[in-house]
Amino acid sequence: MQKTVNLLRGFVRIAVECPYPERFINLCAYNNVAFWSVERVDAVRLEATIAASGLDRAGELASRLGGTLSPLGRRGALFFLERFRRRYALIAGLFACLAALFVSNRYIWEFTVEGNAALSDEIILQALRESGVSTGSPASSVDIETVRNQMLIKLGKLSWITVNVTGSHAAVVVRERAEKPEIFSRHTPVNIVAEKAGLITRLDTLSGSAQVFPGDTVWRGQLLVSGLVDSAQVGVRLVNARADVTARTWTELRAVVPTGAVGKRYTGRSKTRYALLFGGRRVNLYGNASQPYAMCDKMIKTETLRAPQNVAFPVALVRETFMEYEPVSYQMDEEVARDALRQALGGALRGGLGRGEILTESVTFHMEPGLVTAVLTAECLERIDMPRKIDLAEAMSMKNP
Amino acid sequence: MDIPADLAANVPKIIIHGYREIYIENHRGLLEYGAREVHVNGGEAVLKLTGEGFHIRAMTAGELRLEGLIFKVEFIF
Repeated sequence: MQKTVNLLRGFVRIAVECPYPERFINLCAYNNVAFWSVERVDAVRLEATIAASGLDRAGELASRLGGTLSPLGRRGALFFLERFRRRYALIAGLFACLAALFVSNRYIWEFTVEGNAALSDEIILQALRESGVSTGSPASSVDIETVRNQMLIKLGKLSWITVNVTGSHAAVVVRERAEKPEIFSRHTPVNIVAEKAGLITRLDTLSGSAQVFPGDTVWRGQLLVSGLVDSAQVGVRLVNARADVTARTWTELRAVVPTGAVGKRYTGRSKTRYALLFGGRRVNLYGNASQPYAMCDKMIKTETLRAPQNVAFPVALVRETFMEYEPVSYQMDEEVARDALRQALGGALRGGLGRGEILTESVTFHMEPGLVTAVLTAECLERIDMPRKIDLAEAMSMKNP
Repeated sequence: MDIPADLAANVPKIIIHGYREIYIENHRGLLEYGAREVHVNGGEAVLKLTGEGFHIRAMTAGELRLEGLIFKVEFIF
């Protein structure tokens, strides 16, 4: 800490020659001239380091003792800055920079979006622009409450949003609305329909009127248990049908993969060009705007000029790198293609199987020139009951034919 | 009434840290200063330090901090 303070204040290494160097040390101590690292060189000479502010006083003290003081070296921020004392343009530039920093800090130059998955950054920022907050907007003019209300109306998928403005940086934090599954209360009249086609093996009806029986074959969407119940005591009424229906189902999945493919091999040649972005304006730092290679990948990296504490400037450097490649044909091994297809189809089958198990599974392959086709056939035992809300108008027509 | 020794005025107070640092309060200046020997004016006595590589780390009108390998501390009346 003390070293840092000394560096900021500046210090001088001095050599003092006088008949009694100890007296010089004593006088410095009594006159509050800070010194350290004192070395006795010989009987009449010593070297010491003193604070820059005490140099003149130390010179006077050395003269009073009939000696001489000669500086050996100067160090510290004070002496470093002194070098620029007559460089007026540099000082003016420094003040201009500070003024620009001060002014620029009052505007928003950079946005980040956090917490979004379904909505892209661009959609959110576009809605924000429409709400009056865009690059270059004064930071003080952002009314968070108004922006929040407008954004929630514009983007129905958002459940919460806030905009935190720090310096010239605005962090847009959002929470997206979770899609709730349709849940029916016990009082809502529903039917049970088939989620998939299959052969019913078991049917446990908890409420409602069963329309099918074990051994029946049903198609997708077929009514299994009706919520419209007729009884001699109560008459016709609508109930919340509930049932566990298990069925054998058969699934066929098909996938095709080409055995030959075209890939890229980079030649190692690349070209980089730069552009500057001032706010929304782009200034290209290159002449020829066309693509440098016939076949190449383009990578764009934008670096915003930033200072600490979330201070961003309206200047960004865009670096575009073009990497040349040549097309290369790859031939996939037949066995590799089969394995890939088998894995992909197996994954798709298990992913689509909701409540049940696979009984049998087989994959057949068909080879054609340049293509491998796989067909997966599987027999499963699974629950196929699915509630569906009863359309009251339809039910009334059924009730009063 | 006994007055604690460290409160008595004009008496040097000496603290030695290990073998390499010595701190002196209420001194009255240096009488001789060298890398192997330092004489400090303590008022009624002169404090003679013998050692190696002495150098002043900090010094004010009332305090002195010296560094170096200390062999011997003597009082000369």
